[in-house]
Amino acid sequence: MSVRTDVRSRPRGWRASYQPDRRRPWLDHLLGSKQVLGSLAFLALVTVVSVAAPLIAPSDPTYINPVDRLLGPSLKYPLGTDDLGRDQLSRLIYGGRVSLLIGVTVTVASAVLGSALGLIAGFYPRLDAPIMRLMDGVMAFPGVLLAIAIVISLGARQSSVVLALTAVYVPVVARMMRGMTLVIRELPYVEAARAMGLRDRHILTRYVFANAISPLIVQATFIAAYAILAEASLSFLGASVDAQTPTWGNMLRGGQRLLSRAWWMAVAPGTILFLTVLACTLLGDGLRDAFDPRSRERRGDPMLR
Amino acid sequence: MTGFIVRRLMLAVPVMLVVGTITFLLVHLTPGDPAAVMLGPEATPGQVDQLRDEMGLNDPLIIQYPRWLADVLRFDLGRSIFLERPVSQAILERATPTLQLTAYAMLIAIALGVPAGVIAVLHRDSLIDKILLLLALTGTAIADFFLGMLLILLFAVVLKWLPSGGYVAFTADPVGHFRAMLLPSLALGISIAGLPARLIRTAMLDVIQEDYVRVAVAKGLSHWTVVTRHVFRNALLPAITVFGYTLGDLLGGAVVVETVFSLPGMGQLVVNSIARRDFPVIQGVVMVIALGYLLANLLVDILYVAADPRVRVTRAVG
Repeated sequence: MSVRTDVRSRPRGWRASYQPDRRRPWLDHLLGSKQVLGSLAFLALVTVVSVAAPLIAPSDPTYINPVDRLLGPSLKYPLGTDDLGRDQLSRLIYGGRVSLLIGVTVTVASAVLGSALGLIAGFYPRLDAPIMRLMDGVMAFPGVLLAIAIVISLGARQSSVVLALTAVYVPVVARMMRGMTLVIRELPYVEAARAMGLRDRHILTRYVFANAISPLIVQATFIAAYAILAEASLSFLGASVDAQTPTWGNMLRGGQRLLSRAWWMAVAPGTILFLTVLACTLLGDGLRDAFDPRSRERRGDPMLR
Repeated sequence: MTGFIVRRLMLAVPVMLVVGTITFLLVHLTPGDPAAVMLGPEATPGQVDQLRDEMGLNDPLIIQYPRWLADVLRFDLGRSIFLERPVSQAILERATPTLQLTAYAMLIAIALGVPAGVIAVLHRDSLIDKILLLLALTGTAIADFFLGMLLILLFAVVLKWLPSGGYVAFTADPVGHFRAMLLPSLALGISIAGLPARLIRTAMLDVIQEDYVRVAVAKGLSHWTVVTRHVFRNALLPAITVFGYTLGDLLGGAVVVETVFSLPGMGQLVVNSIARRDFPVIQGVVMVIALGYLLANLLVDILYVAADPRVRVTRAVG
């Protein structure tokens, strides 16, 4: 008897009577939430401004003009100038590029790597202990400190920062993904898939991973928030990209040095950093409410007042 | 109980080994020669070779690795050529301000977060709940060092009530010590406070669904008694356990906040070592903090089991 090689995730027979559920309660919930829409709008604005920085920025962020040094906010310099006379608004606009780029790269990289490790650890009991003890070990280091150590060892470049922060957040994703896998692999539909002779690879991607995707998206949003914050901390401590590059963390570093003389140098980048991170967190919160029906139902529980 | 402690230790030892191994590998991540990077471009080949010898980099990895682990067990973390003393000594000298800052910040976070979480549960889904949730998110989203700068601007630059930085030892001047530590502790504490608030809120929401709470309501106990005696007390323990895991955030945050307020702690030690590429110091501090975090969580877990007989039974079975 030959083994059928074209086994599909959904048997043909089901198709005729299969009524796709077109209701999307989570989408209605998302689109009805001011919190989610507001955060998305703000993040979209920051992204557009950062991408279009050369078109929007009033001047060159690296142009040094000692005559205009340490000027407060004015019509010519809406956010003032720093101690080298550089326009703070332009630096702020360009600074978003580094923060967002590193935030997005770290999030995607740690989501991919962490998911893979978590799926494997949860699915193959033999590999569980070694992978998870390794993850526990990495998680024992305070994130910013481990990232400093890695960046300093590799040399302060943008790629080192991405690598360091990815190393910090991979275990977070892996731990969550392993937990989801442990639950999902016991469910009847996984058993059915196995009975149909699907390969582990297909079960892992189409059944386990596909059903763990919404918590992953929620977590990725939070990781983006933490990564942006951590990159700023690294810049602030001088363990990130070159100090002359306009980043929010570098601007805050300069602002801290001259805090009592030029408050505007720190307040503007700090506020934008805060708002961006807050928007990511609010978005993650809204997504969790939308994806997790239990958290919505609990709200209506009369026993809880 | 003993069985649980033994099993918990068995779990902790490999993790500590992983921590030691990662730290060991950090130096070998450096592209090129760590000794040459440390000494800078002006060093002669002779000096570089001498430092390589001192750091033990000339031996094969198979000898370096066990020697490193043995050294760590004896708390020998190498020598810093810049500080001209053993790294372990430098860390011990700098540990006090960091530990004090961490402890004060934790107290502030609990003092702010726990009542906020309880109030949020009592006024579920009302405006107060939403405002408190937003405040908690705000605390988490604001960079601790930026919060520190804002506090300096307000209390040191504008109002001139408190010093903008510097460290005063408690033994030298207790009042001055707390005046100097207040702003950094507030900055770190506020940025962490959202966590205990959320933890106690979730834990209380779980407890509220327990049957004994339903019974307590049904037998006519006052709302206040149910909340304090039945819900809060039972929610406290799980919340405390999870809070142990935030210790890492606290220690990591302390490192950053220290630099804003120029406190001579472990964080400043690390930051000063960044520009000098002083690998042994960075390595040492990172590892000591990670091991301290693991030990603290080990302790929290054991205390938790000691305090809650229910866990002792279920965990012993499972």
